[in-house]
Amino acid sequence: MSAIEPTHPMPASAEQSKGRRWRRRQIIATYATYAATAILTSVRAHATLGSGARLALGVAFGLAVIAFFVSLVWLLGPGVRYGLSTRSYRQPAPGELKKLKDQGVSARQAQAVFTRPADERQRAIRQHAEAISYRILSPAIVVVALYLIFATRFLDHPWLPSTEIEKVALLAGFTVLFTTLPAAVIAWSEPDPVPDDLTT
Amino acid sequence: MARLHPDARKPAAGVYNRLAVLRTDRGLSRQQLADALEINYQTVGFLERGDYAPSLELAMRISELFHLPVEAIFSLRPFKPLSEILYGQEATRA
Repeated sequence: MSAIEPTHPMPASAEQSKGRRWRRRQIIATYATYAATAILTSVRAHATLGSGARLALGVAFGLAVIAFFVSLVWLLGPGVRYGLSTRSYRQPAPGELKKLKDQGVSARQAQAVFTRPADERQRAIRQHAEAISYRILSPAIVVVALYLIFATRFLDHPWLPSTEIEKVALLAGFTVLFTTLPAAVIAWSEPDPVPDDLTT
Repeated sequence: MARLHPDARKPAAGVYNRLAVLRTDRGLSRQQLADALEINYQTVGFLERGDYAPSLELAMRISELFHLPVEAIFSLRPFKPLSEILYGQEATRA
């Protein structure tokens, strides 16, 4: 085997990644659906509505929650693919899994074939994304804390989380932001994937 | 002063390289080169476009793979076209 012979030959189309425009829409959708869910939560908690309006609001709330969770999963996917994970993944080529199974390779061993430690560029973009997230979240926490502490002193009717569900929604928002922001930064900034130019 | 390649543009990472030329010269796909270097396939694209400067360790692994000195693959200044180096300036004027 020569030095340049590949260890895992793979057709050019095997690793497919979404384009940047699609990923950016996904990030906006995720945070927008969270915002919609939080607003609807607050409206449901405070507004006095008739049964019809309340039902419509409940349906809208349910749809917003579903849309949020679906887009959250789609948001994390590109982040993992683009290096948020400590592992680097590739999709098996058509028939490759069956071939391995026929050779008596276990599922665990087969998984190891398609993963490898993230390379130096992937580790670098992950660290960069975490640094950017820290720079975004630090002032955001200060602003929210200042609002929660001083809103009643300077505003006549400030919105403050008063019901249990509003407090949970606020906590969920921060949890989502903390956990997904590095992935969102990576998915937002990584350029479109480069197609391979030679096939074997 | 050495004449620069007319298409030479400053790479974002600040380091010029001949990786794309060498890879295609050896008939390798990006995936094959990535597998040989044990890096992600997209990283090869970043390296070739000059959007990412490799670590010294990766640069030395690349030079070992192509059996070439590091300075033949990476440079802080634009490379002359290989045809000009091999056949002189007459070839590029033709």
